[in-house]
Amino acid sequence: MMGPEVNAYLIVAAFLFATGAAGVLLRRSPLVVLLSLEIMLNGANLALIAFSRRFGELDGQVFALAVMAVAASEVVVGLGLIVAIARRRLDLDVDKLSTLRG
Amino acid sequence: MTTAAWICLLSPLAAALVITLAGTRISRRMAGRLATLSTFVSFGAAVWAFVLMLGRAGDDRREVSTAWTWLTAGELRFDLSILVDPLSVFMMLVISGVGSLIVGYSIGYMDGDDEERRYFAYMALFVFSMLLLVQSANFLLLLAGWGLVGLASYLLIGFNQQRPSAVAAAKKAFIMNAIGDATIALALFLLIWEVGSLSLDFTSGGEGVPLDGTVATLVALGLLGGAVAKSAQIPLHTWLPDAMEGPTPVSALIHAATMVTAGVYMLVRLSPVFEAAPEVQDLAAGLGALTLVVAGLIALVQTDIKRVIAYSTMSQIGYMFLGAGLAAYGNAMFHLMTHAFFKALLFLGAGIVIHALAGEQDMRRMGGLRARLPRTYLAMLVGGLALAGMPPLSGFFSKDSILASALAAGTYGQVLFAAGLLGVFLTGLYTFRMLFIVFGGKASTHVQEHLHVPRRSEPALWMALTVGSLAVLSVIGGWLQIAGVWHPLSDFLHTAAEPKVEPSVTQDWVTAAISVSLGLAGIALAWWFYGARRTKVPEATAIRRALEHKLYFDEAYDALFYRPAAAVAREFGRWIERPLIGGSVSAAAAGARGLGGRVRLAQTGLLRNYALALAGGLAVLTVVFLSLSS
Amino acid sequence: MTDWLTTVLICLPIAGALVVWLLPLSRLAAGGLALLVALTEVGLWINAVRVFSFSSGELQLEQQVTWLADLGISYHVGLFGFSLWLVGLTVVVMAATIAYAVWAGRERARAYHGLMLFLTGAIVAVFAAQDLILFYASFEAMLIPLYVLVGVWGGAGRLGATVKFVVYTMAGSLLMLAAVIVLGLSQGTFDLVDSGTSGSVWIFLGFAVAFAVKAPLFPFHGWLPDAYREAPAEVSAILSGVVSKAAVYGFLRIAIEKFPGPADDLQPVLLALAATGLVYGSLLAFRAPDLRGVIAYSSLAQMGLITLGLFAFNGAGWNGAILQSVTHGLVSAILFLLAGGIERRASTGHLNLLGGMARGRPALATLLIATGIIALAVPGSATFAGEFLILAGVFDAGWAWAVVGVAAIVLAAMYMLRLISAVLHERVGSAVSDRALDLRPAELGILVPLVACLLALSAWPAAITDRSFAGSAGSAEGWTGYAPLAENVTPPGDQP
Repeated sequence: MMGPEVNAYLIVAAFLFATGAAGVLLRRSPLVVLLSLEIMLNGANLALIAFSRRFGELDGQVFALAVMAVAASEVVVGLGLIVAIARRRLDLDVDKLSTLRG
Repeated sequence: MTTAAWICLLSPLAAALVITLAGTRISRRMAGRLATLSTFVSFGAAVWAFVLMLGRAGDDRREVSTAWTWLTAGELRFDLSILVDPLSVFMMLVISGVGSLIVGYSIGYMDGDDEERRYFAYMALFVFSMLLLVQSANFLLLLAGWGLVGLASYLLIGFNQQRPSAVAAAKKAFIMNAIGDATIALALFLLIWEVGSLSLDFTSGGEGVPLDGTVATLVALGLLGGAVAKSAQIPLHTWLPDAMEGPTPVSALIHAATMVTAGVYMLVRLSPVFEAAPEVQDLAAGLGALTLVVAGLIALVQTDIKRVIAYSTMSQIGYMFLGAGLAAYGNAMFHLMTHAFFKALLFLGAGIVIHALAGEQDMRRMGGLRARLPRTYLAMLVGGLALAGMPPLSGFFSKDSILASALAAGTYGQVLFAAGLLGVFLTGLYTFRMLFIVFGGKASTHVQEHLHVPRRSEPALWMALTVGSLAVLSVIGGWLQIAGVWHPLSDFLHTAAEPKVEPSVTQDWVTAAISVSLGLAGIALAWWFYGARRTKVPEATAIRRALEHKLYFDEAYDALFYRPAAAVAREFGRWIERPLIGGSVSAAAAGARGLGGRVRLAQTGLLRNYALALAGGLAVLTVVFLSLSS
Repeated sequence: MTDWLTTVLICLPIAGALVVWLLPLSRLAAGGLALLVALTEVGLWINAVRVFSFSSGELQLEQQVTWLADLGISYHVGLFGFSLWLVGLTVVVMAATIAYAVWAGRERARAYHGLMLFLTGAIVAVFAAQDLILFYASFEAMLIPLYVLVGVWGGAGRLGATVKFVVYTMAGSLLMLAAVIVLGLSQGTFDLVDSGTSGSVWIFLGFAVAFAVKAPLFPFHGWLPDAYREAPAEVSAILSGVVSKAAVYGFLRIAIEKFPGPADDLQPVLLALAATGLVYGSLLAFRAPDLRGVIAYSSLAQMGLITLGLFAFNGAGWNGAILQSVTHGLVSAILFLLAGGIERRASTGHLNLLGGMARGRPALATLLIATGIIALAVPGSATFAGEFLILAGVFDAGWAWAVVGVAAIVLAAMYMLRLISAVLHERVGSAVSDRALDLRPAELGILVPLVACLLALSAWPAAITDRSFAGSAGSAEGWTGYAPLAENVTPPGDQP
């Protein structure tokens, strides 16, 4: 089955990963950081599947499914944390949340 | 013979142990009697050994007896052995004989002192140590005896523990003697590695010593250092005048008759070593001559009666060094013996004077004692005449024999002869200065108030008898050897130490004539200034001050050695020790704390910092893997 | 039976320690039991001397039980002639110090005496261990009770002293651990008897530094003054008299024997450090303002002297070092116990405040003077014999070392006589009152036997030197039966 070269997929995946990384490093709202983290994970998933398709092995796709499961659990935990922080009426600002305890 | 020698050696040690362990269970006077008895037993044993030795032929008079092996190290063995030969028997007789007289005198002198037992234990220990020194058959035991007499001297000088001056004098004596011990030790180390043994075997059989050249000179120098320290010759002499802080019998026994003569004994006993290093032997003679003159000069300005006699001792030992250094061994030992008699006599007589004046030692407070202490005056007069070398007393024969040997010993000897003659003049002068000041003239006010002539009692009897015996010995002791006529002493000592210089009869007579006249001149001058005329002594302030300060030796040593050592110690304490103790551990703690503090700064708590770190680390790893795989 | 003797010597005090810690004994019972165990140790040691064959140079009273066969680690204990004398020193000094502690009365007696007994077992194990791991373990085990003893029962500045002590010794021990592991793995076995020699300078240094801290050698002695001043008197006696000798043993058994090449190369360095410590310690002892300071710095000087003898690499030096180790151990113990007694009577150790104590206290005066003059090595004493041998030995390595050594003898006379006079002579010090009594019978009962041992050794030092390293004139190994060391040796009388 021919389609675009694997390179095209990798470029898109890299773009997604970089966008996500930039979001993690540059945005202050934890919600946005979580979102960016999801984008990074999706970029990684894309790369995995593209390679799986390229080499004809199924390992990449299986691993991508596992990554999705992990991403889902992590989102649950993260959103739970954010809701808990919001309930205590703290600023949703990553720079201000630096005590890392309590 | 050796059994007698062992008894002689161990008897005083036994007394010392018994007195120490018995403590207050025996009376004070009993301690004194015990000590005296032990020294008399010692003397008896020495006489017995002597008699046995006379019964043997000349070559057969040497025996060694070993108790057990003292120290080993691989192939080195040092035994506890004693050597019995003419020289050691001679010394045993002098030490135990004069020693027993002085210890007996002490019963009278120390009567009433609280610490008598301690005194007699120390005296017995001293006699034992001195006997060990002269009986030892190897260098190591000799050094052991050497050190032990120094110890006994420290204990006895510092006997009056409350007096700071006595304690300081005791420490000074010990430390100067320790310097001598150190130089002897160095000489012994050299001997061990060159020769392989420390036994005194070479002194018999005349085979000589397997040493020569630089090694022999170094060994002899080390030994000479010890001899100079022990015998208080220049330059290690400053301890002797201070040692007069001890009780008078101590001064008599240790600092006149025996311990200070140990250096002379060493020069004679180890003569083969010194003969292998002739420069050192000449040095010994030279130091003797120098001390002889300098000590005589210093004695002229002393005001303490004991210090006059102390400097006189230093001077007379200079004569002995002169004799031994010029290889006139028999004559040197002869003078050692007669000097023991008359110097002990002078000290003990001075002790009676001091006792009678309730402890006063300053001659300027004395005077006119001739009428009040006539027998003491007579005894001290005998001693003084003997010291000045007047015939027919003992000093005349012994001192002149040394001077004659100097005359016969080549140009160097003749130079020293001149020094010796100057010494004779000075001896007459200072001795009779002392006698005229103390005994002549009118009684001073101090004497009139404080004089207390002792009543007849056991203590006084001891003092009188012992002084009397010494006076008799001072008179007849010299008749043992009359130059050119009969010399049993030299013959006796010949096998142990063969003299290398024999004066001719003319030289003997010439010396005798000159020295007697010089001695008389000195006495006359003393009479002129201090006798009946009491003419004013010429001022010469600079010289007088220099002499009163003992030529500034003490000050020089203080500046050269003591102060720098104390300063170095202080600086070590400040610059090395304090930082080392406190600094290092605190530095380590501070370092750890600083490092921790700096590392802690990375824990910001900011999520983005951690994310950045993750990203950065990932980037670095990627690069590394890529470069490694390519 | 005799093979078990070494193990019993190690384990009996440890068992005693456990009993004392676990059973609810009264103070007197705990102390009495500890003393009983200590005296039994002495008896066992005397028995060991009886069955020991001093003419063969081999390891005796040996016992070996394999533990980890593939690494070569085993429980291997045994004694040479010289280690037997060091064990003897240990048991005698420990018995004396335990007796002193019983007499002086220590708080929490059960803990205290348990620790003392444990310490005894550990120290004996150090001298008897023939396996590197066992040696290291005993070396560390020796330190734990000491930390506690100083830190809990010490004087006012005990915490700082303990911290310094801990830091210094830990640093050294960690280096030694690294060295032990590397040596054991490279040799294939950790057994000291089976393993051969190594030429690695770094491993040698690892051991040497640890022993230099323990001895202590200049400049690793920063822990010494405070530890000796703050510890209870009898613990200082142990530290200075016995624990320092573990370093001597370590140097001889491990550092010099297993590393002949590096030891030879570094001989000048170690001699220089030892000589520096000797002079430095003597000078500081001369200026120290308190009793314990003088004894502590004199201990530093003496350990420098002993190390000088060890690195002379000839029979005279080694025999001298062992003899001096034993005599210094005894002297130091007596001096610290006397210092403890004086401090109890005057409530201070400062020499300015003492003085005139000889008046009315003849027993104290006699013992202090007797020990002091033996300490300064008066000729004729056992310490003189040791010093003479050491300096004679080191003279062969270079005459300058011997000159420094004899200069230190004069310095020793100066500081010891200063100590004696400052305590006993001259005016009565302000801290000394008439109520301060002479030595009590209990104190005499502890000190007099120690002094008697010293006097006996002074009369017959060959008892130790003739029986430390077997093999004498006729033996093929040359100077010592301690064969690995024989190649480094030139007998006297032959100069190349």
